[in-house]
Amino acid sequence: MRMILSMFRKDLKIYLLSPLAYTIVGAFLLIVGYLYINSLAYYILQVSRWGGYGFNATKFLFYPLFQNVLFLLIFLVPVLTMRTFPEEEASGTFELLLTSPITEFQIVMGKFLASYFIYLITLAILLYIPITLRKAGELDIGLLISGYVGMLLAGAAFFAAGVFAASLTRRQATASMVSFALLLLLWFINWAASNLGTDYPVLGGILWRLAIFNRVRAFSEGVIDLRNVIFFVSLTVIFLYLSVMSLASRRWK
Amino acid sequence: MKDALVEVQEVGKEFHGRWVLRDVSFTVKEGEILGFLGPNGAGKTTTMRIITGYLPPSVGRVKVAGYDVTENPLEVKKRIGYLPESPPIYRELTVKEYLKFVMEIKDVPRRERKERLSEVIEYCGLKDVYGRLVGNLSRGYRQRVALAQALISNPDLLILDEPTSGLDAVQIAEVRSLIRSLKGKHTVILSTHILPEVTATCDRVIIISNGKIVAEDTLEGLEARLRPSKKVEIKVARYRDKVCEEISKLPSVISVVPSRNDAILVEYPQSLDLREDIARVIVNLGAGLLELKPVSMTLEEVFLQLVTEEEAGKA
Repeated sequence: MRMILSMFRKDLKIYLLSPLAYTIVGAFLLIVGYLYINSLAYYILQVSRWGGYGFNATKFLFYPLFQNVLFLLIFLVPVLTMRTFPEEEASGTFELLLTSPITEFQIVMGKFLASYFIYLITLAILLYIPITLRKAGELDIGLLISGYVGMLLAGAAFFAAGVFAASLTRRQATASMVSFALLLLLWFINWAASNLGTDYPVLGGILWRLAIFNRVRAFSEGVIDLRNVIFFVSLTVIFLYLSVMSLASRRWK
Repeated sequence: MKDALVEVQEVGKEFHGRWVLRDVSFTVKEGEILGFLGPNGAGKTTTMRIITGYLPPSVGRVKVAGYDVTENPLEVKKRIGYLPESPPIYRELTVKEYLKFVMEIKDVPRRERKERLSEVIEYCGLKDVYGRLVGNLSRGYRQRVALAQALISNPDLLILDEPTSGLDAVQIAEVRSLIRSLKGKHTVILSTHILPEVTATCDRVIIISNGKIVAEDTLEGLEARLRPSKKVEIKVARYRDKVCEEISKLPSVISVVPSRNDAILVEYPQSLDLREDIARVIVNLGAGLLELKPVSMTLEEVFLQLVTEEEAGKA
């Protein structure tokens, strides 16, 4: 645990000292904010036209917000995770790490937690939206909690996937491309699921269960389904395990 | 072999079907400074990486302080400090932050950290750059920071891969005297392709070429073994050719070669001393003896000889 913490602190420090994290998180917040302003304007238009009755304002505003955040993670995650291992490679510090009494598991966990922590900071900043809206009227707190739980859990799986992608390669550019492709694939599995599902029900069923889209949507709509929780936790664990394996196997090449 | 700190037994390493190390065996005693000498690509770095546990050997075993590197890597890693060929630094951290991080992952006990830090800072001359970013330091300082990193856990075994590469003459001298001062406190294995480095720092030398150990001895032993003959260098005022001719007529002279700066190199068997006879010849000729001095064979020559001999043997 101490080793994980040391690794975590070191990586976090480097994130906070380099412009990369600020740039990408800034851009991310800007886009999310822009999309939020759009749906807010649309909401105001709707209310002024039809009146605010009969529909859940929280859902109207936050469902697209949660979905946008989760979808935009396919840009945020590759940039934040691409440096994890390739940077150690480039600066020669991999030799330092692998000749120190720290295990591959501890290295992976420290790096994962540091990149995930940046995401947590990002989510914390996004709290300005519900906090400011709270002043305007009542919000559906249950839906907000569900949405945030979804962003936390799905985000963990995405960051683990990014860390795994970075553990496969020695170059930052390749790492970011691989994690981008991996996340895109995770998002679009449900297309294959619905297209193949009619002709191959078994394959379709498997793909449907792997598809993250519906699971993410459930959280954003206010449903915390235990199966979805387990799914994302497992996905996180699997990707982290694969990263450890990938690091260990590097030395045997 | 009671006090052998490092035991390398018949280690071999294969990369993509090519054996870059074959049958490497040696031991390092506690407190010893061992030089690992060989041209670039000979397998020095690979051997060192195997000892540190960074690379697994394809065959053979390595033990450090009785622990097998493959079976018990963490125990071994706790006991070593390693300076890789390129200094492992985080550009974004300050020297202090960097060394603190290294102490953490090297598992230096918390209560010893402060003391270790100030000791190493003092020792490696990092006082002036303590709070600066490692990325902004000069090459020489970065190398010192890297050395500090290897020393900071006060390891039993220090492995230094080309510790002076890329440094200027002053920095090289500093690093060498630093290494010499480690003698007795740590066991050191250092690799280099520069000969004077070995003579300046090491107790014992292993010469490696093409992935194989070609010689292993103390410095004196190595020189003596490769010097069945003695050489003297002579300078005369005139009649150089005549002098050469007359000296080569002397009994048991092996060779007479006119060398640079108008000197003459005379070689004769180790067991004899022909200096008196040579001097007499020159005086009799009236050639005007200016200089007559024994030439000790530098390790550089030894090394060249070793490597070229090995290659000639193969061809």
